[in-house]
Amino acid sequence: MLETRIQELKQMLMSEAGLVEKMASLSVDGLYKTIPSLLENVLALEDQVNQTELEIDDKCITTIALYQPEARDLRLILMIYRINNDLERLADQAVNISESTAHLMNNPVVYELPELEQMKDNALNMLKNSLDALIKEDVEISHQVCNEDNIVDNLNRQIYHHLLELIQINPILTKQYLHLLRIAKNLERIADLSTNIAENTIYLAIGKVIRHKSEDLL
Amino acid sequence: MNRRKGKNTFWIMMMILMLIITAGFLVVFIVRIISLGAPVLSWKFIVEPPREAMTEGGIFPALMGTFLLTALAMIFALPSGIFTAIWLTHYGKPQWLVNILHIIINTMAGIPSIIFGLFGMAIFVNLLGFKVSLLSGSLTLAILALPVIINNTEQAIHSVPADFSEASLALGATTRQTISKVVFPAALPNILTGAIISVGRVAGETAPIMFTAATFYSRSLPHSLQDEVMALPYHIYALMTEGTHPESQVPIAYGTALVLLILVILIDATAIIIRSYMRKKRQW
Amino acid sequence: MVEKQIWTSNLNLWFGKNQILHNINLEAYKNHITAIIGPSGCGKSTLLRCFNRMNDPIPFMELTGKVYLDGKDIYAPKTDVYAVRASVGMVFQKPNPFPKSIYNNVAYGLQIQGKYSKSEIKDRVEESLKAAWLWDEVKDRLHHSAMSLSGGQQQRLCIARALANKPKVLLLDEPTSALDPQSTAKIEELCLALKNSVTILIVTHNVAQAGRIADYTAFLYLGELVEFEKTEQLFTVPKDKRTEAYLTGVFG
Repeated sequence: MLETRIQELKQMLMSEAGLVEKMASLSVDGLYKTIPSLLENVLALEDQVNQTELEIDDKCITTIALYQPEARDLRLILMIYRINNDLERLADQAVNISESTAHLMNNPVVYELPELEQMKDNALNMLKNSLDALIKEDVEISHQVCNEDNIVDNLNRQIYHHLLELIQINPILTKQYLHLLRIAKNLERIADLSTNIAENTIYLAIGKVIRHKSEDLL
Repeated sequence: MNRRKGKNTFWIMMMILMLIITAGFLVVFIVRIISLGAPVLSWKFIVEPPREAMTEGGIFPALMGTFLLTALAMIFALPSGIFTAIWLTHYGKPQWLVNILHIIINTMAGIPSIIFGLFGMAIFVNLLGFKVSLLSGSLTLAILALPVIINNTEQAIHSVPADFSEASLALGATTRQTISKVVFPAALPNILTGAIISVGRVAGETAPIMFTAATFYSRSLPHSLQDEVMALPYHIYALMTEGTHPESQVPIAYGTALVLLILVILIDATAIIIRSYMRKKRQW
Repeated sequence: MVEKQIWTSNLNLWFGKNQILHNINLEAYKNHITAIIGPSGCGKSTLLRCFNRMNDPIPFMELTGKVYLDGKDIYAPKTDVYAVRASVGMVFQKPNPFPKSIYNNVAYGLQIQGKYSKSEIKDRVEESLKAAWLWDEVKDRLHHSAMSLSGGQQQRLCIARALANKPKVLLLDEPTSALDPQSTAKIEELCLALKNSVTILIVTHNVAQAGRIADYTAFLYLGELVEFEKTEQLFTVPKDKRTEAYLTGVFG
C-alpha cells in the first residue's frame, strides 16, 4: 500500500541521483583527461534521467491522490517531488558543462585556473554529500552542505576576477576563457542545487524550513 | 417546586391505591378458592374417580379428559398453526390475500368461545357425524387455539432479524432451507412459549367442549376418539348447576377449581421460566 | 491482460414506478478489485445486489438488461439462482453471522448443498478461515458461538463463510462502515490478498478506501454510471465534472 509506494519512490529517486552524480563527474573529468564520446554519453544519461523524472512526478501525484498521506509520509513525498525537480536541473547543468568541456578537450588552458579544480571538487563533494544525507536523512551533513555554499560562491567570484585578468593578458584565448567562465557558473549552480537538496532533506527529517534564511540561524 | 412535588406524590399515591385494589382482588380470589377447595384436596382426590353421584371420590377422569382434550387439540392446532404462519410470513402471495387472511385470523381470535362451541357442534358433531366425542371436542378446541398460535408464531418469526435470512439466501440457500435451518430454530423458543401458554388456555375452556365433548359422568376412561369425556372446567360447571347434593358437591367443585387453577399456573410458570432461560441464552 | 469476469449490459431496474438504475454498463475484471462509489441513496447497493440476484425477493422489482457471469446471463430464464448465489458471494454492511457455532457458520453454505462429506467440509472450513485471516484466532474454539466474536472478527467470519463456497466473485457492501479503524485496515489488507483468488466488487461511501484498495473505480450518481476508470486516473484526472465535484466534496 502506501509504504510500498514510498519505498518505490525512494528507490527511483536514488537511482536518478546516481545517474546525475555520474553525469556531473563525467562532465568535469573531461577537462583533465581525454574522454571519448563524452557528450554523447552524458546526453544518453540525460535521457534516462528525464524519463525517471517524469515517472517520479506522476507517481508522487497519484500516491497523494490515492493514499492521502499525512505528516512524515506527506513531507517525504513532497520532498521527493521537489528533489526530483532539482535533480533534473542538475542533470541540465552537467549537460551544459559537457558542451563546454567538449570544446576544451585536450586544451591546457584549464591549468591556468587552479581555482576551477578546487571549485569542481567542492561542488561535486557537496552534491555527493547532499545525496548521502538524503538517503540517511542526516541533518548534520545537510547543514554542512549548506555552509559550504559560501565557499563555492567565493571561488566563483575569484574565478571571475582571475579570468578577467587572463583575458586582458591573452585576448586570443577569450573564447576558451569564456567557456571556463561558463563551466564555473554551472558548477556554482550545481552547488546551489545541492544546497536545495540539503534544505529539503532537513525539512523532511525534522519538519523545519530553512530555505531563504541566513546561516547564523542554522 | 413544592406544587410539582405535591402533584407527583398525589399521582404516585393514586397508582399505589390502584395497585392495592387490583392485587387485593387477586389475593382475595385466590384465598377464597384455596379456603373453599383445600379441604377436599388429597392424593385420593386426584387419582380416584367420583363415587356416589359425585358426592364423594375424586376427579381423575376429568383430569384425564382435560389432558386428552388438550393434547389432541395441540396435535391438531400446532402443526397447522405453525405451517400457516410460515406460509403467511414467507410465501404469502398475493398481498391482498395475506391481508384478508390476517383480518380473518384476528377476528377469530376475538370470537367468544361459546360460539366456537356452537360451531363445533354444528360441524363436527352433526354435519361430520363425529358425535359428542373426544374428537369433536379437541377439534373445536384446536380451532379456538389456532388464531393465537398463528399470531404468536408469526410474531416469533418476525422477531428473528432479517439479517440472518439475507445471509442465508446470499449463500445459495432456498427459502425452505433458510426457514428450516435458520429462521425456525431461532424462533423456536418464542414459538414454544406461545404454544405452552395456549395449552394453559385450552385446558381451561368450558364453552367449546360443552356441546362437543363433555359429559357429566362417564363410568370409565375414554377408550377411543369417539368416546365422551369428562373435563375439569365442565365438571365445575356441572357440579355447580346440575348437582343434586350441593352440600358435598360444592366443595368438590371448588376443589376441582383449585386443581385447575394450580394446573394453569404451573403451565404458565413453566412457559415463563423457559422463556426467561431462552432470553438469557439468546445470542442476538 | 485483463479479463472480464462479471459485467452488466444495459441494466435498468425499477422498484414499482421508481427507476433506480439507468442503463448501467459496468465491467469487473478477474482478480481485480472494482469499487463503486457515489453519494448515499444513489443505487450503489441495489446495483451490487443485481450481481447475485438478491433483489429478486423484493416486491415490485423489475429489471431489464443482462448481467453476465463468465459469459452467461444470470437473469436468463431457467438459471439456477441458488448456484449463482453460491458462485457470487456477498458480505453485508453489518456483520451478520448466524446464531450458531463458528464452525457451523462457515460450513453452512456447504451443508445446504448436501453434496460434501463431513471431512470435506472440515477441510474447507479450515481453508476458508485461514483465507479470511481468522483461523489462528478461533482454531481452539470452533464450536463456540459466533456471537462471542468481536465486530471485526465477525465480519471476517462472514467473509470466510462466503469464501467456503469458493465463489468466483465476492461482493462487499460497505463491509467496514460498522467497524473501527483497526478492523477496517485489516479487512482492507485482506481484500488486497484475496483478489488473487477471487474477483472483488466493493461498494464504499469512503472514497479514500477506494483509493487505497481498488484497481478500478466506478462513480454512480442518481442511478447512472457516470464514470468508470482505473482508480489512479479517476482520482487525478476525472473526465466528468460530476465525478470531480464528488471527489472534491462539493456534494457527498
